[in-house]
Amino acid sequence: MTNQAYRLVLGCILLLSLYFDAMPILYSLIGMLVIEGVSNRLLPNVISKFRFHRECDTNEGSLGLPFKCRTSVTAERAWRFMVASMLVVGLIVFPKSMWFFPWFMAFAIFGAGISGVCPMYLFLKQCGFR
Amino acid sequence: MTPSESVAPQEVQRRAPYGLPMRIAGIVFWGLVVIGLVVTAVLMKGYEKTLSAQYTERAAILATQLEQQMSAQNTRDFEAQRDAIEAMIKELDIRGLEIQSPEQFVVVGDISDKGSDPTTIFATKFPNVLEKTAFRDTNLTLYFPSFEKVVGEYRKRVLLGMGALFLAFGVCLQIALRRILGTPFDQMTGDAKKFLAGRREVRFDDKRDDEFGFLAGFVNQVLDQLNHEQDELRQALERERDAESRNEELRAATRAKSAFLANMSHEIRTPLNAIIGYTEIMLRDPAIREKYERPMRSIERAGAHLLELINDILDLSKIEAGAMEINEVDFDVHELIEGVGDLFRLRCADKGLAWKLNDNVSSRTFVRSDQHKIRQVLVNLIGNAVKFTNTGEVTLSVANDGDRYSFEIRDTGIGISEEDQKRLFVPFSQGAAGINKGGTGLGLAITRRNLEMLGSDLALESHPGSGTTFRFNVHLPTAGRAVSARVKRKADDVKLAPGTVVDAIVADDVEENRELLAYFLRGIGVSVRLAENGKVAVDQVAQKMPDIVFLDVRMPVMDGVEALKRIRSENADRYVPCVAVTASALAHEVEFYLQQGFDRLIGKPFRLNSIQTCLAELLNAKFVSQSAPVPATEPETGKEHDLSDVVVPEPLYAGLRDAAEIGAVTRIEQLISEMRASGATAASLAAALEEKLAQYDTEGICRILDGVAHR
Repeated sequence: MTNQAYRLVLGCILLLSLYFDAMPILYSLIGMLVIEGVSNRLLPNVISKFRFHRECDTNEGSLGLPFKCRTSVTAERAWRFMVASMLVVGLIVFPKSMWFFPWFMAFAIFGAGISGVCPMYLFLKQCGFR
Repeated sequence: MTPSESVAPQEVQRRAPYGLPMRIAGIVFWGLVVIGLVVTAVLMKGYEKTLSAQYTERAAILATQLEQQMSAQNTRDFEAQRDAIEAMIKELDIRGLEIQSPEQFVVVGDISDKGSDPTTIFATKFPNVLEKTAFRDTNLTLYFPSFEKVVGEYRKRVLLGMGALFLAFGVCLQIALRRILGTPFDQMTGDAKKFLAGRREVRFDDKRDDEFGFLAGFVNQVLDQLNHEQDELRQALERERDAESRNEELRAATRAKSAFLANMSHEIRTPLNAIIGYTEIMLRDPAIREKYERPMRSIERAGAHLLELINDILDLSKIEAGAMEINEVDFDVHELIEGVGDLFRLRCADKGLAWKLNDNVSSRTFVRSDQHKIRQVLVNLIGNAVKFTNTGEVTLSVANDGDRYSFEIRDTGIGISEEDQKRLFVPFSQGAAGINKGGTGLGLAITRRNLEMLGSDLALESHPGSGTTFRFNVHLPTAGRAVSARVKRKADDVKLAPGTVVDAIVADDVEENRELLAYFLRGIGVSVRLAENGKVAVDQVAQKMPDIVFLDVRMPVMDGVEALKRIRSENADRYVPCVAVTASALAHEVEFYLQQGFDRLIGKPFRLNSIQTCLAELLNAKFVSQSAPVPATEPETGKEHDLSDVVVPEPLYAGLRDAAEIGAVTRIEQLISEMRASGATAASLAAALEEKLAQYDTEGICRILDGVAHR
């Protein structure tokens, strides 16, 4: 399972959950993202190791651009934290005033899953994440 | 790298499953999402206002309808009008209603606030509509569906519709981009694959008026350049192959020439070895020397003449092949000059010329250079001077300024015309006078080449009738050590010192050469065992270890080199000197045999001196000279013949002249026989010619013919 496929699935689940107001699913997704970020057990890597006995390419989604690495934390891991944080802000902290945030996140993640272009991921790479 | 060796085109793989169209569509989608959300937020604001106004309006309508209904029924009993009120709220899409009057508290509809289906309490005070009516004291509380929920539902629908719209737009965009970008890209990819497959005439489509057409134009220029360079490379490679094949042919020709020379050198020297060697042996016998010395000396000189001729040809061939080498040795300059002077003093006296030597070099000057070549140059130049001078003198002047030695050979001979001077140094080219005097025309060519190798050049100054002067300078650095004067040993009167026992093995497949060398060795007291090939020699060494082994390098069954290796390997505990015997005079072959392990190399024809030197240097053998005096080695010059009355028929004279000019000895013999048969008057001429012929003195024959009348 590539990271791009992971984003596509995550985006679909987010969109459906937001449409049907499936808050438990949304909370579960937030929890899963936090666990992935904390434990560094990313779901695509786990599946890839199980199936192909190797991890996913850390440069997948970099579009071949050169980025300078300043920390050992991977951008994917930081991305999980970012997404989880934004979902928390949009769903729990400011559900009424920032209602658009989770929708934006869901659409963006869905689009990144289709096109392979994730500006947030590229931003994290630019910040120096591995 | 040749075109055929260029890297085989590899299938270029896409690194990402989705290309540019998908990425562009993704980026556009991002932008559309942001725009969509902004639009949605704006729409939501408007919808909220609309919804709020709707709620207000419905509340007013309900209040008005309720007042009208109660007024029409002329009652204040809201409970009795429940059905009508329920119909009203249902019509207005109001979930529930609380009516609180002084008399009653009535609840109509569903006012429960479920967690999953909340309500919005819109008003707790009666709207202004009933302010001026009888129901001004009645409070209405309307329960609408949750404002947030309604707005939320509306928002979802909007977002869903926008999402679907954007997705459809993205798909259409991607399809359009695939067509716009992908089609020309695929075409360029296909054309590139065709070019890589070998279709060099393929060009990209540069007729398009977009970036692809622009790029295609540049790519076509690159392909044209590439084709042009490949063509040039191919042509260069073909030229290189042609040049290499021509070089190989030249090398093959050179190798063939060298092999031919080596073989010819061997083939000519081998019989010469027998001629000169046996002559030398026979001359050691006093009885033979007393009776047959002149003919034996003639044979010896004929052999030496042939040897000199083959050496000249080989030298020239070596020079032309670049195989001539400088062999530097330490020698005494004064001794060299004296030796050359001694040689030509006698020859000048023979011709009635004066010999002058101006040696301004201090005696005992030891220098290091190629003594052989310098001697060869001097012998050739002075020899020519003597040949082409009939009266007067020949002068050799030598002087030095530090390490720079200058040599000058001056004669009072016939001189050289300017036209002949131009061809003087061309091999096998002779002037008219040179043709008359005989020779091969190689001497000056070899002389000049030798001087060039020594870093010098030959200067010529000559005018017809005024003599000729040759000059050259050569750098002769001082030798590191003094060289002891070479003791001239008369080779034919020495034997091993008493008490010196030397056992030798001689291996040669040619019986004459084997016997000849054995004669030489036995003549000086060496005991000799003979072997007809290398294998026999090895067996003999195994039987009894000799003191020295002479091995011919070319033998059947086992050649000299192989025999040497066997002897060395089978007798590692005792070293026996091995001498290579070869007819080859090529320097690289000499070097080769010495590198193979031979201690020395002696050439054919054998010289007793070289054999004695081998024994002295390798075995520290001592020699003692015999007491028998050696008669003079110079032949008699011949008694004078009175040729004043001799008249030679013109055809005979012309034939003799022509034969003498080209050195056709056999023809001269035939003509002399004819002359003898023609009568007694020609007998004296015949005798005189025979004397000169015996010495191979064709110049002397020409001189005699110059003084003889003919008609």
